Amino acid sequence: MPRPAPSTGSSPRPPTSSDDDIGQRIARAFARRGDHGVLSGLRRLSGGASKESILLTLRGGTNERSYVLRRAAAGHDDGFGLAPDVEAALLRAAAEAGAAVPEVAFVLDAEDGLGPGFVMHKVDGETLAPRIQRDDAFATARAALPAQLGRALARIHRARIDDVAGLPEQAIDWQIAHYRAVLDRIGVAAPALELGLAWAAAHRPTAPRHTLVHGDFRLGNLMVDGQGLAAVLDWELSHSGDPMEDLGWLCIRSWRFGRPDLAVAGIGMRETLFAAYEDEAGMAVDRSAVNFWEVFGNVKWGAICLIQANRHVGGQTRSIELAAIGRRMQEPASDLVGLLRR
Amino acid sequence: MMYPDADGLLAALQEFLATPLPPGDFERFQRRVAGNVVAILRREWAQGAEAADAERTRLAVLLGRDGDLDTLNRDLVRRIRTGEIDWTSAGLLDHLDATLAAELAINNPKWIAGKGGNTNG
Repeated sequence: MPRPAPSTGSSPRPPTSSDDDIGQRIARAFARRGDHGVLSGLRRLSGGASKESILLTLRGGTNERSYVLRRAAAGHDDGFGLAPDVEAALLRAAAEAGAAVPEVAFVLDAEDGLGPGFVMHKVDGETLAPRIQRDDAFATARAALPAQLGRALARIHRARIDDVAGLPEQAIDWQIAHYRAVLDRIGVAAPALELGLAWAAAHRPTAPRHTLVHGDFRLGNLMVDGQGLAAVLDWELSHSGDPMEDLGWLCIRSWRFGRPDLAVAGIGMRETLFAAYEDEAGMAVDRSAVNFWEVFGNVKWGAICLIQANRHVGGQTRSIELAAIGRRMQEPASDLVGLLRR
Repeated sequence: MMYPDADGLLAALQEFLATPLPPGDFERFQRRVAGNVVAILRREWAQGAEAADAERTRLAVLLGRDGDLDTLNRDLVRRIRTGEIDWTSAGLLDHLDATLAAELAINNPKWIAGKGGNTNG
């Protein structure tokens, strides 16, 4: 099975012609659940690799309510990402653990005629990294974010997932074997990524905890407002495994965007993140495990660049955007080699 | 190793140009990507052959054998996977650094200058 790819950012989705029909079905889905508001707006949002996100506004009487519908979409690859009902269950589990996440309104069923999906309340804010990193409106948010991200991760990592069916387990051994198989399947010789996998096999964390892992916790997938973190989005790559994976992934240079000098999301310092995590979790952050996952995160992002390009080359989704992502593999690969010199 | 190769990028570009998109955010974004692909291809046109030749020469020394670039890279991957070569092996990290730097000079020169360059959201 192809490993799901993290959302690759801000690219808008292609327009389609059936919006009227979808609008009617959405209005009916709300009506079936007792909300007879009039659908007054419908707009496709950029989103993850496997799902379509539609922003919709309902007007009933004087008040206006905004929601986001997430659904598995035709034309998006099968086998990518979690099923929407699993994603909804995770949002609820994370909310219960105290993490800031969008509130799930309802999960779609067969009678809605919209395919598998769910509706959540819209959270206001900004997701684009350059704005969060540079705009004056986010100065207060930037000061608060590194610690907020640490606390959010600690809460996510204590979410109860025993009852969440369909959450894949992805311990490090599974991931190493998986990405080796991915490179073989694509058939591209990538010595740097191969070296990263060999290094990872020899340096696995010895006693990882086993928790919910968000899987793509970084700018672009975090809703930020003037005060800082408003909601953790894009749960479609979540799995169970070593919680230190989320901290390492957050620190890879690719997710520092325009500020490679600041390890945490191009905004703050590692120790600020770690201290807040430790305070919230009541346990120490394993620094060497975070370093391990930072190395491995570069392997993973490099492999995902090739996977995305392969979706184009292999003909599943012909797209110049996907083709171009293949040429970004060298970014994490080069950072990876730098980390192996330490 | 570049994936897709230059011909693969040109094919993607050809398809993009042959497929009209309705004006809007999606079309604008795709057009920006296409412009970036042209910039990559122009740099590859100027630098690609020399970079590949230098990579092949380094690989032949590292592996102690001759062959075309693809054969040598596949041999390197095989030896890394068997453990015959690893991150402590003399010259390997230097070779990978030199190769990736030459590829980044084509794909995203800003990355080498330490200016990030990941503007993809």
